[in-house]
Amino acid sequence: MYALLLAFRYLRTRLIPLVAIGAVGLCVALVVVVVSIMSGFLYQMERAGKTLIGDVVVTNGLRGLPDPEGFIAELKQNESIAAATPVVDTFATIRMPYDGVRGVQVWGIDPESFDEVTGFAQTLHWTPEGSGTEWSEQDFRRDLSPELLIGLEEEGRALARVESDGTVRPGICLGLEISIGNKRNNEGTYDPISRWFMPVQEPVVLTTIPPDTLNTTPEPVSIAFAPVNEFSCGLILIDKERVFVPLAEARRMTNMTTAEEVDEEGLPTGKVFPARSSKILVRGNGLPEVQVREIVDAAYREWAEREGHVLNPMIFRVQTWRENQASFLQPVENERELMRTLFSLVYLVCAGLVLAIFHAIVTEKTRDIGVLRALGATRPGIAMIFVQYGVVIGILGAILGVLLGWAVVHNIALINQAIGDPPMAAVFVLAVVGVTGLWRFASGFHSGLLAPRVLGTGLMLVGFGLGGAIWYIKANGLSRVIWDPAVYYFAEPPNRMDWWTALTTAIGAVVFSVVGAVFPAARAADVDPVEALRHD
Amino acid sequence: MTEVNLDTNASTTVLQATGLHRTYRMGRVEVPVLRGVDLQVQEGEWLCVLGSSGSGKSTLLHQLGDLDRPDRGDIAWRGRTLTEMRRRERETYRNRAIGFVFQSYHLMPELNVLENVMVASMVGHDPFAWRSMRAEASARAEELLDAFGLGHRFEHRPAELSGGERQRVAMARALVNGPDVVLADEPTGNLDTKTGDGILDVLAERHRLGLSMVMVTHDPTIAARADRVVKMVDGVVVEETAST
Ligand SMILES: Nc1ncnc2c1ncn2[C@@H]1O[C@H](COP(=O)(O)OP(=O)(O)O)[C@@H](O)[C@H]1O
Ligand SMILES: [Mg+2]
Repeated sequence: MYALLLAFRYLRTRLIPLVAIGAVGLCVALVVVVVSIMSGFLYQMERAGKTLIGDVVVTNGLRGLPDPEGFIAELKQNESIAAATPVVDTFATIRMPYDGVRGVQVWGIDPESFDEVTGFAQTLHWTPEGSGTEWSEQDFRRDLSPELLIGLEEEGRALARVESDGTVRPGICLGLEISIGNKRNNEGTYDPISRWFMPVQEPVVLTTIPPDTLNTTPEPVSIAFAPVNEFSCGLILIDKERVFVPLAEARRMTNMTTAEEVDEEGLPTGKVFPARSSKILVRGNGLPEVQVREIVDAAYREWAEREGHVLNPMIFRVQTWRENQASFLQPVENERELMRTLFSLVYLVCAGLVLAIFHAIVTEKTRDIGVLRALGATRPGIAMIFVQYGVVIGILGAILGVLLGWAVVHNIALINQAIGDPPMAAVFVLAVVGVTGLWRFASGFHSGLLAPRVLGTGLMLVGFGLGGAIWYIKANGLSRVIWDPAVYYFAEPPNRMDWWTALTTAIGAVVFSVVGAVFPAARAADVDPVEALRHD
Repeated sequence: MTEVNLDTNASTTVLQATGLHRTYRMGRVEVPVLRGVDLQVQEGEWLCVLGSSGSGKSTLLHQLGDLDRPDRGDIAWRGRTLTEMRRRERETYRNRAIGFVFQSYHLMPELNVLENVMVASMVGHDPFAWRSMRAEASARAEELLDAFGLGHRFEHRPAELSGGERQRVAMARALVNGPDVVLADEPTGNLDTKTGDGILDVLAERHRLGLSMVMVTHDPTIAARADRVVKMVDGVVVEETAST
């Protein structure tokens, strides 16, 4: 009882423990902020990555999968499977209407089933408000006629354009970052440069060399597409690389169409190879993706055996979306764990701080300890004062740290903006700090005391130095945004609090504060009461 | 030994030291401070140990209060020696049987007056036991402080009190657990004569109510107020006069 009473009293009447709490709090906040942002980043990437993949991906290397439609028709009999869709992917050069040529990743899709698996239609940009990507306050799309947008959405969903004469042309849906016509604005949406936007432009042309053509010089294949819409899935990496075209066109570009077998003389043998696809994307009925994977894997093996398709176990893969994206997600996840480990060093800082401070307090309180021993306190009882003191400091520090971390994570966008472009108010505040320092310095000079002069110099350095720097940066227009979407894939820094990390870090801070308290506590317990009471 | 005293004057021996030796070692030099101290404290007795500075009076009190252990010899409390007591018992002995009053008060600066007194009671009980007796302890502490003229200063910090007032708080702390013996180490040593007399009056009043006391001092005029005075000379205790 006295242990707790004294722990709280030592806390209330001293400044150093408050410094310790502050330091522990800062340590905790540091870990919470860093790991939360990394976790948020990972979460954004996962979510974005999942947007266009579904739950499970079936692949079979470059050869692809035979007769995906046949398999899908059978797979969908399974109640656990909500939707499945074939995808052909390849690389191609794209010629843009403005005479730009660049490489893109082409996904040939069946728009309807692809949407069922991935929610592709929700990523379409040129749609009426509410059905595609989000609109900002002053969105350019508000200037377009609803009829136009409805038409574009239909074309986007069908990946086809019906000309006025009735002919149907294959459509292409481009990632929003591909065309130079779209510029990301500060609100995270896009404005077309000088009201120029893709869907109504002339055709774009994809050119690729189909792989695996037998005994012939590979002939490039060029196909013209009507740009029917653009998409934005939230992951800039995808938005600036990928285009969607109809499955049939992609098959032509990759030689995955139906083919007839020929004998040595080049005559048809009558046997027909079915069309293929690079992958099959599957969405489960809310089951965990690992279970969906097992179902699909078993189903595919059974189906392939029955149909006489030989699977090469080295190449054939059934993966969850997470496994499929591992090369992309794993580095970020590893980096987060590395951060977590490195920043766990702050626990040692907590322990060290508490150790140093408690060591000083034990030395200072030696006499009190002697008195308590004279009053009958046990050694463990004395030790408990400081251990409980450590617990109190740890808990208060952890709470402070979590709150601070939460405040930072929650307001990260604002902070990012403020650091990138500091408000003028900061300059004024820092100027006030500097003036305060000047005043302290002057008063120290007047009284001859050294401490106010040192403090004043410090305040002046911080106030005038930092304030001046910010003012210089602002005056010369040197400010820049730290979280550059082009670098980090996302428009906004993640502001999701990682509560699990917050909890474990808080517990870690308490534990290590106690660890830091244990040695001084033991020393306190070993204080010789006679010696202690001789301190007069 | 208890029986012996029962035979002689119908009073019991509360505290008895037999052949206490204590030698301090400072590097290679040995400083023998106690060289066979024999001492008896009777129930209700005010015993004064007179001795010059450095004669080992404090050392003796620390031995009696179990703050330090003798090299040789033993101390018995109501017939039970400290060496045969288990650790828990010795702590209870320090907490309940003994009340210490120091020359320089030794109050805890962070605690207020009332808490400084109550802490002695808290120390002897685990938090759960203490909850149930908190009211009782606090009533007792307040009663003692009232009796010592500090009734209106419960919330004050020791730093806000005069020397005499601080020593009264220290006495209340020593008495709050109702000890058998108070060990007072020059309780007036830091006070002027008048204030010191006030403190002695308070102790004398407690003694009149039946408290046993061992007081050490180098001041013969203080010793004059005690029931019995012994002298520390060359590390042993010799009987002096019996006053009153
Ligand atoms: N821890 C110690 N180490 C060495 N010498 C000590 C120690 N404690 C006390 N002494 C010595 O023992 C002698 C008696 O001390 P003390 O009991 O305080 O005397 P008194 O209280 O009568 O003034 C003194 O000479 C003192 O220097
Ligand atoms: Mg002394």
